[in-house]
Amino acid sequence: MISAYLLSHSFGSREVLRQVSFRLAAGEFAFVTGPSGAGKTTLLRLLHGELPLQQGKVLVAGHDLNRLESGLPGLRRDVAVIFQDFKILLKRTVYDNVSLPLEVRGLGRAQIKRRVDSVLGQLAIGHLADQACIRLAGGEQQRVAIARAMVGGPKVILADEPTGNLDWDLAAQLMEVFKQFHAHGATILMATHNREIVRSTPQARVLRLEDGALRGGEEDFGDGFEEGPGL
Amino acid sequence: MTLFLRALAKGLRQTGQNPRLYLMTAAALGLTCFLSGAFGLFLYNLDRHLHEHQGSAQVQVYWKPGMDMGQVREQWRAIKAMPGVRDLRVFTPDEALEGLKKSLGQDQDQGKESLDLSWLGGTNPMPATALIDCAVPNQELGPWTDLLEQLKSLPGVAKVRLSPMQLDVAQALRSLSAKAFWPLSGSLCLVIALVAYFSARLCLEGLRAEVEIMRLVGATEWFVRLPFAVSGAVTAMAGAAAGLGGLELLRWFLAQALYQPPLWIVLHALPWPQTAAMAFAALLMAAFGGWLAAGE
Repeated sequence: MISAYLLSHSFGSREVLRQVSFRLAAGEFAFVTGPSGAGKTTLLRLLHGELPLQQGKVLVAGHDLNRLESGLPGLRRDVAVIFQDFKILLKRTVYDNVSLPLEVRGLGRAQIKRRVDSVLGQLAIGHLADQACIRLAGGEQQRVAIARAMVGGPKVILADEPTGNLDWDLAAQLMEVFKQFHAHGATILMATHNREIVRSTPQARVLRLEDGALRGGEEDFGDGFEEGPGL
Repeated sequence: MTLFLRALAKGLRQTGQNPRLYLMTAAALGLTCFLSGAFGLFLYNLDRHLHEHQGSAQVQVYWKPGMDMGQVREQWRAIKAMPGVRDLRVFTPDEALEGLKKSLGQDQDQGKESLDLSWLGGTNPMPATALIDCAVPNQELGPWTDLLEQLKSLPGVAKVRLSPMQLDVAQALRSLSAKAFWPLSGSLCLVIALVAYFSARLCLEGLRAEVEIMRLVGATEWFVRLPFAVSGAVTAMAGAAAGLGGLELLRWFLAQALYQPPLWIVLHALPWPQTAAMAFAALLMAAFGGWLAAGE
């Protein structure tokens, strides 16, 4: 589902990622771990098309990021992203926030309502649908962000420290939600530096980033390495 | 089509969802339209005043004494219909003589004897006269000279007189007015357009998160931009309507106050093409500003 090959990225003279290569199969759950500044967020931003590729080849959910051009909205519909700071519209209701990905696809009102109600129910925030997000607690706001990511049925979910602003109990509850979605076939790549979170999810693979380079969990591309990971 | 309508509706909804932000933008635009319109109103009325009172010249036409008045009256009717003639005041020989008597016998009002013209013996040596108020063209003098030639060629006309200085002054004023009015009107529209553009962009700064999130969830570029263009246009429309409506109200009150003795100043409303141009400039540029700002 995700193939990255010799991916490097710099901000000015500072090299943030160095020749990172890995593969993530469909339905796989993986953590990207490492200390602050290791390049975890940059890796996710590259995979989401938020940053332009400088070096390397990347294929995400069938989208070739080297030839993305006007295909960015298509990538964003297949690859949902969840942030540590939630990035939700605080003055809007939970329903408005969660329905946004479906509205931009031009789905009918009834269809949108059905899907939003379903995902809000799965995340146990159905009763908050008409509440303005600004009135919700941090854990509830993060659930809204997850619901928005899930509602469109993305092929890949990228999560950047989604539990970073939450206490352990809430973080554990949210991890259960992620595990549920994973059990339903979602491909998840989650950046975290929380070891407890990683330990609580033994089924997940761990990609360890240190100083911009992968130190563990990288894919062996074998003989075809020079040709790139199926690009 | 559904998506397009949805983006349009989103733009309208967006205005209602952020009332304070859009109200402030509309207020800024309204004030700009009001101030620019007020300046435009002043310019327009000044221009009209110049055209009406200074942009014309008087031509005096004298007929030969003893002309048949029936023929002269026919010629007066023809003169009134000539292009460029704004006003025509005519004097028969009797009226001219009466006028002369009045102007020379100044102490008549004090009850003294009027000027004694009995020595004329009942004959009237005064000619029929016409005082023609003509519009002076600001550049091309062709129509003007044509008119003079036409007047001179009328049968029985003895003399056609005009003051060259009056003609020069009128022409200079008309030319100045024509040169200044349109560039200044254009500048006002430009000011409104720039304020509208930057107001729409600044307004969007408060909604930057919304733009970012729309892109995050896979909205296409036009679906992100169109609502902001629509809300910019709606805000500009409301602002321009309030500003120009307020200006018209002010003009109405001022017009009432100025059309009183001893001023008798008529304050005309801005013509609708100029008013529409100001509103359109605001609307177009606010929509453009919203569209561009959402793309950044």
